[in-house]
Amino acid sequence: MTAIDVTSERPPAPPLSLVRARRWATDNLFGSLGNSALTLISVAILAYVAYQVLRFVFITADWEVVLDNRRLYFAGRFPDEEMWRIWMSLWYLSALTGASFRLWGRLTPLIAAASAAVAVLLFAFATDYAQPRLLLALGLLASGYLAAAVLSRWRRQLAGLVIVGWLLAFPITIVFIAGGAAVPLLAAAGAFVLGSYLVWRLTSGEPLPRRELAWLGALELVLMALIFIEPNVEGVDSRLWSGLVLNILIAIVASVLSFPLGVVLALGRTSGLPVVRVVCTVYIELIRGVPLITILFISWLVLPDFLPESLRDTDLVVRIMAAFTAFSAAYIAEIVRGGLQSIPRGQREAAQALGLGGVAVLVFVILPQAIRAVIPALTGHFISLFKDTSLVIVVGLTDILDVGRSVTAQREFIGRQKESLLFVALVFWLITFSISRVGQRLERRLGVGER
Amino acid sequence: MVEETVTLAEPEAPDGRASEKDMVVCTDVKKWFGDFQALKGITTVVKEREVVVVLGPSGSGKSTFLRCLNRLEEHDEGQIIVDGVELNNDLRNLEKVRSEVGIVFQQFNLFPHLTVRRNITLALTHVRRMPKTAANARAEELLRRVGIPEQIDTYPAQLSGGQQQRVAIARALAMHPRLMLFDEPTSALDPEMIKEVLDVMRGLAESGMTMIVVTHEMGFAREVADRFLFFDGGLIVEEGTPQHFFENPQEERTKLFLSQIL
Repeated sequence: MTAIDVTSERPPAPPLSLVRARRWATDNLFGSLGNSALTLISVAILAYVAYQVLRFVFITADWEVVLDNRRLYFAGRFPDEEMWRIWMSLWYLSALTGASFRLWGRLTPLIAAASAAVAVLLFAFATDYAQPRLLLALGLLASGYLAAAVLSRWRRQLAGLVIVGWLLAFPITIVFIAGGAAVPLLAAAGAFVLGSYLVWRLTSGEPLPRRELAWLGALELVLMALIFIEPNVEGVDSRLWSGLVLNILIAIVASVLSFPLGVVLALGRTSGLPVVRVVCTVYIELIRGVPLITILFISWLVLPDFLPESLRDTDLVVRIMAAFTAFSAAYIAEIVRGGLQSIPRGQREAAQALGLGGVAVLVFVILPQAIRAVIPALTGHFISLFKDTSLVIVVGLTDILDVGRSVTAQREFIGRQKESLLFVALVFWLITFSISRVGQRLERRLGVGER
Repeated sequence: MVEETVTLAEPEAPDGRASEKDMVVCTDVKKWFGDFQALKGITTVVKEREVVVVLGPSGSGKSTFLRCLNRLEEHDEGQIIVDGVELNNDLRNLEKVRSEVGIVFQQFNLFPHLTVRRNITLALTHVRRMPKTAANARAEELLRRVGIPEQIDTYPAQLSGGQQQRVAIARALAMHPRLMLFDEPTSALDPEMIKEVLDVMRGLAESGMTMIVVTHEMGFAREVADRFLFFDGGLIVEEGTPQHFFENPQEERTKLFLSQIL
């Protein structure tokens, strides 16, 4: 063997990309006889499938059923004159999203493309007046971004504002849509969230600037006042919630409410207090042991008989949302419990040894690590929760899948089930894919200090 | 690195040896894990500014003893008084003692999801209620003292083992502890990193900190210790000055142990 000369030799030039591609192909696709055969067969199958799909999409299919009924897919029987409520919610959310991107993230092409695709679908298919509204929403997204850019001198205050905005997004959205009797309840929820935030900030050792404290305090007072005086905000009867709006509302309500509930259940199940532990364990095992469809039927037909007189005519959608929340919480509890168990005992001991109290140990040391560890599982759970919302068909609610089936009963669209169902599948896929991307992003962002 | 002299002297700490004040008083401390008795009656006194090194084979109860001193383990019988406060089920006592006793673990136990800065300031802001700016200043000062000021905004996983252990020491010192416990602080380290941690501990001992150290680093122990405690089978078998141990150990078990590790 000759000694390797390390001094005179220049590093070899990178191979031309064509050469590299050929090299890659011979290495990976045609490495052996069997490998080559597999490659050829796979390509043939792929080509056949692609041909069939493209032929169907562009030649055989008649997409008029989807175009004509776009409004039904999106909002079902939601009254036309009330659609502004949904637009208001979307505008609010897009402004927040824009500001958040400016403050904490960057608009990666993939996310931009995904959200644009979802937005275009939602808006373009939703109403006849979609285009101006689509522009408005995109405009708000941009103006949220720009506002944050212009006001970057007050970045911190702005960040606080946006965080409060997100915390209140849930109640505000629901008030926009449900209005009426929901106001006191949602004001209570908002007051609770804001109140916890204030208490947390006030006790965190980093005092709030006085001005911020003043207006947050004022907002808190307004919310608390709203709990008692009931402004007669008209809403849309929940029996009219349908189409994709219904799927999304159920999924959001169930996710937002079941997450904290699930975390509490997980902590309860791992608690040292026997009564708490038994109650949580029984709840989790009971719910997990029953199919979701059964739970939906129970909350439709059986639950009213067990409720006190005053709650007996709680409307169906609310009962169904409660069912989804209860169901989801049990699963989240088990996922989070897995995360809690993955935290080494030394973490708790180190925190205790520093004098941190029980709650502080959980909030600052244990839970952030436990939840970060289970983000992939949680993402999966939220995806299946969203897909499960189409099970509301069994209790007579009209979700997007039900719309997709019933529009083909119209005389001019008889026989167009394929197009309709494929479109529904595409909508589900687009949304779940976005959730999955957000999950991956969170994972990457929070994985900074990975051990 | 820490080649330049590490000065850990607290401004107010006089450079003297053990005072007459009792820092830790243990009277017949017993502890069971299920049926296994880990401590069979430990009685000892540690004076203020004293450096005590605890030796003994594994399973002899030395870690358990250390962990009883800030109540990470609860003792079943006997009495432990730390800086005048008795350790019992009174939560106020517990809080007071825990924030006055710092502990450094074999496995560092830094919080991996927080930056070095936040690891150090977490307890300052949430237990001591210190404003964030003051806590940050304290973190910077401590990191200078342990020789890694430039690592303040990194995460623990980005540091070497020796650096992590020095952050752990800084984190414990941030609370201004009156007593520092070290539970085999160099056992999980690669050999080339042991020195940098021992240097920091040596500086701390010289500054007059009261320390109880479980370690197998005999050179270091001999140099800094005022007194050795030799544990075996949950009891203090022998105690005395380093000189006594190295030149004239009395008990058979001590001799056997020393012959094995030296």
